[in-house]
Amino acid sequence: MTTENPPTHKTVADEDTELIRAAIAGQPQAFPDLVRRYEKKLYSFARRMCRSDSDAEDLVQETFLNVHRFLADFRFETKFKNWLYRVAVNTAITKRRRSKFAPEPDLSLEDLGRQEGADATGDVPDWARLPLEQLLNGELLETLNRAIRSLPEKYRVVVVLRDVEEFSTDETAHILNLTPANVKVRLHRGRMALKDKLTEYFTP
Amino acid sequence: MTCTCDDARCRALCERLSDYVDGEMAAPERHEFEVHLSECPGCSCCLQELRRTIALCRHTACPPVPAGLSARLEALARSLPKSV
Repeated sequence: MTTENPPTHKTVADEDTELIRAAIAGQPQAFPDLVRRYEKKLYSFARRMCRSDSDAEDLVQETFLNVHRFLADFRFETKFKNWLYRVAVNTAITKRRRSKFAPEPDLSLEDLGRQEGADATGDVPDWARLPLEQLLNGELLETLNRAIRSLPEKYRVVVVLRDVEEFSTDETAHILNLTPANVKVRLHRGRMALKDKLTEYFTP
Repeated sequence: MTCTCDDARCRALCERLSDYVDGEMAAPERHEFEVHLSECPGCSCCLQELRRTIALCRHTACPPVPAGLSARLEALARSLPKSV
């Protein structure tokens, strides 16, 4: 854990506390209720973290199995949601280690923000200027989701946690066991890579 | 159309754009940054594009949970031992 605060045993109560305590106590309906409460969020996270639908479904299922396995160790020292995402990230990392994929490349800022044939006038393009409502449509959202999934994993997970799931820098650092400074570097590189992909999409 | 900041100073500032957008830049540096932005159309454009990228991320929708997955999760949750 890499928070800047000293270790604390203060407990955090949130909207999940009662349900978690019930699940730990073995109340029959509690764990199914917990799964139902978080299946949409976890599926959304998994769809962005995995490159295929079936991998995303496997990740959700394995995450809930690990949640069940480790729930008794949950100490109520953080929001349950943050702990849940930490379990999901660790499950994804374990799944990835078991696979035989080649390591994913780093993103260099040298390569970002300077596409071939780019116009150097500095005029703000329409896609960055028009009201958001004029841009949002199914095709763009699909393009954006594809662009997110195409990022190397170390950047993708930070972009998803910070800009899609809207965790804070410190929460993201805690979930990923990184320093906040590291989160910021990865976030910026991921965002710049996404920006380049959107520029490509909008450039005729 | 996009911005291309090839100047060394622009490149250095470009690395801090997210800190600026996220309000994680100290006041003196922020001021210096804003002066540069007012004079540099390239960096200003880059900032607009970055802001829009983040806004779009916050509006991405995810497809609903497939009914088959939901049913499998329900069955899984009910099949696990009650005591965790």
